[in-house]
Amino acid sequence: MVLSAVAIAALLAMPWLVQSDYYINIGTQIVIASILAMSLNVLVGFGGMISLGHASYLGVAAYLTIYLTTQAGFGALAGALAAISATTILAMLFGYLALRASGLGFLMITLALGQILWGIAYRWASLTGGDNGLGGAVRPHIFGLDLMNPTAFFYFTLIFLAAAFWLISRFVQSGLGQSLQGTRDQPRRMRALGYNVWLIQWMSFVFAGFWGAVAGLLYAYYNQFVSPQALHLTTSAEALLMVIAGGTGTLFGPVVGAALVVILKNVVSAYITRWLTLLGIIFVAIVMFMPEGLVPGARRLRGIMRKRQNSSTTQALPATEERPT
Amino acid sequence: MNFWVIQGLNGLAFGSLLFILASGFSLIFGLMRIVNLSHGAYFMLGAYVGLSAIDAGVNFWVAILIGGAAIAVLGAVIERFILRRLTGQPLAQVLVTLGIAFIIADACVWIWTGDPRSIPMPHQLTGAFRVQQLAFPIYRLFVIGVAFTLAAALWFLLERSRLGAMIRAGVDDLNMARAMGIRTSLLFSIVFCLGSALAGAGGVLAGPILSVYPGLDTDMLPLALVVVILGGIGSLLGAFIGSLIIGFIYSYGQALFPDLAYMILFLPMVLVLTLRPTGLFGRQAI
Amino acid sequence: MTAPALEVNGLHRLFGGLPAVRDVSMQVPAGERRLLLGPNGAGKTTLFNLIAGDFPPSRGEIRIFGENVTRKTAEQRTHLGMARTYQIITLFTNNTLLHNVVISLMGLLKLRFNPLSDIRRQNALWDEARATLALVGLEHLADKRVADTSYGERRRLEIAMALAQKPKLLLLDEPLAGLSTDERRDIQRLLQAIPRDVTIIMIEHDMDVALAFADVITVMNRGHIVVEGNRADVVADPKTREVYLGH
Repeated sequence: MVLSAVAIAALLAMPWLVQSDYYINIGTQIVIASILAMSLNVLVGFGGMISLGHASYLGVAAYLTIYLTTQAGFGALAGALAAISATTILAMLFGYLALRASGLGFLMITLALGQILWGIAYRWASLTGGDNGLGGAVRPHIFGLDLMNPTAFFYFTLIFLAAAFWLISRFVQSGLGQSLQGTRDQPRRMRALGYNVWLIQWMSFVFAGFWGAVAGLLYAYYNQFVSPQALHLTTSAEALLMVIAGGTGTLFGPVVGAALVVILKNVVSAYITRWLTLLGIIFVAIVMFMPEGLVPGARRLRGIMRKRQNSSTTQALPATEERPT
Repeated sequence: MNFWVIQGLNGLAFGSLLFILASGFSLIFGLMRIVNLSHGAYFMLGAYVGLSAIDAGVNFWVAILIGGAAIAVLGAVIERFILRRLTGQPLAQVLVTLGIAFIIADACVWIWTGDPRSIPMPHQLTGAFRVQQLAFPIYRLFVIGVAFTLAAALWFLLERSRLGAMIRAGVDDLNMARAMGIRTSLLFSIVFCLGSALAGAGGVLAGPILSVYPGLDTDMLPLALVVVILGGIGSLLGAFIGSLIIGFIYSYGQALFPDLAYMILFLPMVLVLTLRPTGLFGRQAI
Repeated sequence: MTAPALEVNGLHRLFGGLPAVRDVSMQVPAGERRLLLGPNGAGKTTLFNLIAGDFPPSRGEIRIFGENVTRKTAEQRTHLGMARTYQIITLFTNNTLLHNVVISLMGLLKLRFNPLSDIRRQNALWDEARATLALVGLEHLADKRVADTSYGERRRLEIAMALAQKPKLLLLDEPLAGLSTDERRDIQRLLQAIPRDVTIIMIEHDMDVALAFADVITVMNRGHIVVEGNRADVVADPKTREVYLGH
């Protein structure tokens, strides 16, 4: 509890403490990445479903936001609502397709769908600007505040982070969230208990896609620009790394992971251009030497794995403990 | 009419390249249940290695062998020292191959720079084959021939050889295969090397048609995934038919709606996943 | 005339070409205590899994309380009043016993689709869960993690999870497996205490307990039903001896 209070205080005071636009912007990047990571963690940590296509929702929402507000005459609010709604509908479709499989198949489908979206953004230059992307987004004025100011925008995104954190934590403790965690741990048992596992997973997928879209909206306004890179496999991989690095079964883990990855990426970019190599090395290192973070995924694949994991391995899982009040 | 024939042949050619890539991926996935996300990177690296070999004066045919061999060795090392340590953890294996893919891709940019390069065709295969009013590059016909030959060779390997029988037993039921005395770890190494070699050699073969450039790996990998989803796990026939279907769709798509060509790739995926999730020829759910 | 709790007709299930269940037909009237006997590999668990809906039969039909459920999913069958336990432990090992029962209770409630309501505030649910644990004598371990309990306690939790949903048809897959004599007696008493209107079908190897418990016994071997009748009939039938002793 104390730690949370300190963390929150630090977040709120950050622009003061730091006094530099460059670092405030990094803070904003972390906030946006946190929302993306938390949304993916709903799938990975609480649902046991590993997706390598989560950037789809970030990217599509960003593209729609910028396109609608710069080329289709939408106002900021209308554009935001339309972008998030449309992206959420995309999540409904992608969720249906991906959930035709489970485990590795699910992963493959999410990857393929994500890369197809990337391909569309890259080739359909007349619509998406192709490799050049879409730009020209102008941060709106909200209640008299000029969001072009980095500090103002930072606090703006912080509001969304707070909302995301609150609603996602409510989700985790809700009937649906508990059902989801049950399906992660014992899908067969859940079916025997009367749960429609597919429906629970699909609803959670859409919920996760929604928050990914919210991150995309903020991403669009932060960068005032979007390129196909936002839809690329590497972006999905970075999001997954944030979740894995920070710890999957917790609410705060993804925020920590997001901070780690964003800071690392910015630091690395300043000195060398080999971010991709570092990303790869970190993936390999985490997988080989820190497997606890991957146990929820491994458990989820029980149906495909030849060896059954014996129950002792499940104890490493940081499940959310249930304590009746 | 000519248009349809030419594009059909282009589709066949592209599908052939895809098959060379996807066959290895499918074998590895079918037997070892490893989703080798490095497979696209192997393809690209093989092409670069072949390119350097040709730059160094080696002829095209030897370059294919070198490309294939180099990636086979790389695959062997990765399988033996990294993937094998993660046996029983399919998800961990997937993520490791993803990390390795990133490392390979970045290494390629570092070593060969970001400029797209084309691999020169062997002079025996330049020029076009003419029949009536149609002219079609001989090299592409050659590539189609290679794919069909490969398909036949792989079929023969799987259906008529002892090694193939062991592979099929492993695909069907790994534990049973082990119980029957099949040395599955050796089998795994062989299959992984074979798959990797196919990817590497395939990259060199594709060089004159697709060129070699950063991003080739992430262009090809999802196509291999779509082929396996479409064709079904563990099915060579599925990989073959799936590759050709994707090849056709992509080729016609590119020619008719260049902006939307990638979007068309959604269609077979949606259809298969909705109507027949096991894929056209797969026996188990993906 | 009320429909039987369970009726299967001509049930057939192949696994990769090998028949695990062959042409099985069976009727279990409501309220009956039925025992499924047979050596390992006889097809008992496969039959259970078919009834429960884990996979569809290759041929045949299944009716629960008169309703044809052959094409229905496992969860749909649960909503018709069926519950089952498993031979292997499929509990939520990282959660408390109380939590496990709450998940069982929630399976039949609309609450399970609600993304906003805090499950911790559903006091009625937690109270009912506690009461269910008391039924099986585990209320003193309510807040303990399943991972920290003994095998016997987990077996009892298994039954609690099934009973929590107040099923009308209960499938018990070897509820006594691996338990000590004392633990067996406890479970036996528990089973006897289940109200008579609950139909129970049980797979068991412990002869004394099983035979004392059952109204009707069905003996299976190699996927077929070989003998069916009350205890005296089955014990006297030479085919039963054949199944177990081979002659």
